[in-house]
Amino acid sequence: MQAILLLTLLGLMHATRTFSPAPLAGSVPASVVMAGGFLLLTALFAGNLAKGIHMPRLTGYLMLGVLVGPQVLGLVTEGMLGQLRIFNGVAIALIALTAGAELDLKTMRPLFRGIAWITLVGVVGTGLLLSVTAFLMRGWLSFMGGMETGTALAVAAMLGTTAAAQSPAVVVALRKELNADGPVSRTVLGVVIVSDLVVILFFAFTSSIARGLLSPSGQQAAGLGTLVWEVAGSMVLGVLIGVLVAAFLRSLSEGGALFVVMVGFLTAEVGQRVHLDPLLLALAAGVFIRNATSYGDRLHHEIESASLPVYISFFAVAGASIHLDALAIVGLPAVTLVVVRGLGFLGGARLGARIAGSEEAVRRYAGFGLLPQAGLALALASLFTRSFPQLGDQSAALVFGVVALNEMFAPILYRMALVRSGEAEKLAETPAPPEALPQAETV
Amino acid sequence: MRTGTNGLLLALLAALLGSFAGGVLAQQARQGPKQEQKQEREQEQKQEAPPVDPEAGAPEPAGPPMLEPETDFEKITGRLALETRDLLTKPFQVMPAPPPAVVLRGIIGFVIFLALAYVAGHSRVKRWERSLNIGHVVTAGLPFVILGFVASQPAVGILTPTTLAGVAPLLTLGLGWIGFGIGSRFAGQFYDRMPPNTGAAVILTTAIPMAILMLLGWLFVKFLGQGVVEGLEPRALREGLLLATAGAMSARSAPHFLRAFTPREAASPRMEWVIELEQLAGVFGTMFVSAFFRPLHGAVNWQLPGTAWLFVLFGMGLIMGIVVLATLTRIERGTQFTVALLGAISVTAGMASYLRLSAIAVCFLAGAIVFNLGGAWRDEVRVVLERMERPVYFLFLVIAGALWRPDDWRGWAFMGVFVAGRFLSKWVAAGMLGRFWMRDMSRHERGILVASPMGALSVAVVVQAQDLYPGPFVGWSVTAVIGGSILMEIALQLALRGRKGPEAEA
Repeated sequence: MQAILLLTLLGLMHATRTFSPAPLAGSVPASVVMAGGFLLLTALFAGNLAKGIHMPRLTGYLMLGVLVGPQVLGLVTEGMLGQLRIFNGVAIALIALTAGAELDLKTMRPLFRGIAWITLVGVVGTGLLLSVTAFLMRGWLSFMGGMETGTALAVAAMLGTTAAAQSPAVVVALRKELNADGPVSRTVLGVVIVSDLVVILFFAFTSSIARGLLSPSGQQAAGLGTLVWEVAGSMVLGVLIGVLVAAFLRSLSEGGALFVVMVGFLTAEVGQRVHLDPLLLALAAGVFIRNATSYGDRLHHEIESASLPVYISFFAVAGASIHLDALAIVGLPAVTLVVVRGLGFLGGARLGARIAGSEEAVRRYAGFGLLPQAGLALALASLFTRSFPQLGDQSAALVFGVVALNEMFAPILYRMALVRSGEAEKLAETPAPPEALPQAETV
Repeated sequence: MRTGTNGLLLALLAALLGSFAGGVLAQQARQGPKQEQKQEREQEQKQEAPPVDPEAGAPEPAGPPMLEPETDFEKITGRLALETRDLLTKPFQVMPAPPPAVVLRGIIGFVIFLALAYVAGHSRVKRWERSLNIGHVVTAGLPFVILGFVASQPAVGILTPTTLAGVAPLLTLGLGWIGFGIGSRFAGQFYDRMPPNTGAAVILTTAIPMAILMLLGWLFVKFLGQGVVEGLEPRALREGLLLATAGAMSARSAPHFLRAFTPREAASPRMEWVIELEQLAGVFGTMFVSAFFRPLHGAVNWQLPGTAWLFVLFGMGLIMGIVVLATLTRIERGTQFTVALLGAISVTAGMASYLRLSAIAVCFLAGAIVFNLGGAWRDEVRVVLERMERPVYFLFLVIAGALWRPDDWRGWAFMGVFVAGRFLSKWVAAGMLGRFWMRDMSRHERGILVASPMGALSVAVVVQAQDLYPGPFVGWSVTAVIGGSILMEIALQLALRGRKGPEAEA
């Protein structure tokens, strides 16, 4: 039935678009609302259909975006997408807020050793490996072709960092979907959350350097100050935002979901205009609320009830924004990065777990949990393309291409790993503490 | 079938007939004497650009071109295409990108307005307002109109044209939300409980004010609008219809308010039914105006007569209603349900508005279908819809205030005509109703019909008109309807000051 509804909506959208191929004067807001509602509904159906064939829902959202976007059916035009990208900022902030709210330091203490070594060897090591690979592939990438060595290194580091991002959303969603519990799923959850922080910090660092190198020479001196402001300022202000959110949650029992979306919107829109990192702002707020107040679960609940429309729009818009034509050009580098990333995570996680003395199951299967990419990776990819428009469509295609390939296949692999590790359906038997089991988002 | 249902069907039939009459009138007004038109068209083609009211924001498109065989179709469509292109690109070409501080001020200011609208729509605030007898949306919303007006001033610079353009999609969504909400109240069970003669009462209390206000509005614009824009005649009729649509309805909360000053035994619930059903006049009014007065006629692929647009509107409402119903029935409860509802209203309102049809009307039809055929989830959805209705209205009032141009004296004069015409026509309607159909109607019931202030849907009608037909005349209607609503409520408050009824005493 949902497939029929999906087709009906595609037909209705096509029919409506024949009224005038481009929005008329005064119709621009209408076209934005129409495209937004259309993407919401159809992506929702696509997500449910994907779930029906044992794929993650977000793969459905993305594929739907690709299908209806300007590159395939053209039902949603570039102009509409441009207006709908307002959701990107909100989604980025909400994803970071969720990740921060999942970072419960007390619960994760027993797993710290394994998490730390896997993060260091697996994640940081793979990030470096990816950066080196991107640098070595610069001959294949036209946007890095004419760059000096230093600039190319900075851009490669940024590409490597973006490609190294993982997905707490997918990890949590699959864990809930399979009712999985045990050392593998817990360690993976810890690693992806800590890695979020590491990747965000690395991204802020590398992007500041790259921005300085790519900007006119007069602006290079401002690089370090900008970095300090961006990182330290974001964290301090993020804690202040956390204080405000906690005060709201303590004072009022309703309206929290709208308030959280508002905070996400303000964090994203104001943050980027005063050169603060929206990701760090929201992450710091989330970490503060989880660890310094008793409103972590409430925040999680509020985000969960409000964020789904934002996430669906975000993923669908991201799918529609993928430049398939450019992806055809960067296909080989994208596949190379995906393969290197996979090998790096699998090997690095195994090595890190062995150094930490983790269980055999963790050594064998934890690496698969690092493969999926979704929210954070797309957020970083969006930030990357928004921050460096001078690098062109090919760079956007490359980062989104890597994310898209990982989104499509990695969740299936992690699902298989959880089943093989024997942790599937364990949650019902031995429920973990509530702090360790954040409510999974349906993405 | 009960008498009330018969009456309602009669009301619908009358409304349909009215629409066709309106359509014929509109067509006649457009056609006029052929020779005269031909000369006008020749003059138009000689002109390089249509006259533009500098204070009206986007230039109003020139008079609708005729599509008779003798028309030089290519020239006209070419000219309209150029105008359309200019309209589309002008804001981006003329307006430079605002500095970050201005953008930040706009973002933060608008978020504050959103928060205020949400808080003002909260049930506690509503109860507090009722205890002070200022429970009407328009009176309670007066501060929002003022805030919007102040925030749009260049010295304040919060609701700048850029900010308003950025939040315009919210207006479309809000119109759809309101339409869906109204539709949700017209489920089958609603008609079964209807008292006798309600349909006849609704016909009288809406048709007479509509006829009188349409005449007054048409005459006003016809005489005072000379030289403002080209193609005055259809616009004069359109403004008349808009004014009639906005003035025909009363505030839904009016009976509760007036009952506070009325002895308990005199307060019959049947007036509440009449006032509730008056909302249909607003829905059908916007339906017909948007079907027969097509903006940018000629610049689009679909060239249809007004009657066909009416069919398109009904068909769209029907299809979207079925799609939304199937969606809500199939989707899991919880967050997915919220996404489905939001998506359904967005896509319905967006499609309607994209076709330059009334988003209120299309969403009303979809909402009526969903709530007539829907499952056990209907009440839950209705609660969600109603909870957000007041904040949406308040947001409308902020934006209406920002777009308000009260320095045009003709808007204020229009308001005077509107208020006087509405009061007079409602008085006539109530008198006829008491004489012929409801002989047992009490003085208090008559008071409710005559003195009921206007509702928030009236504001939504003119806000939608601003979206569909930007230009100076709609600005007059905005002043007339918003100013008139406030004036009527204040007058009512003053008239009832010092009088305390049983509820107020309780």
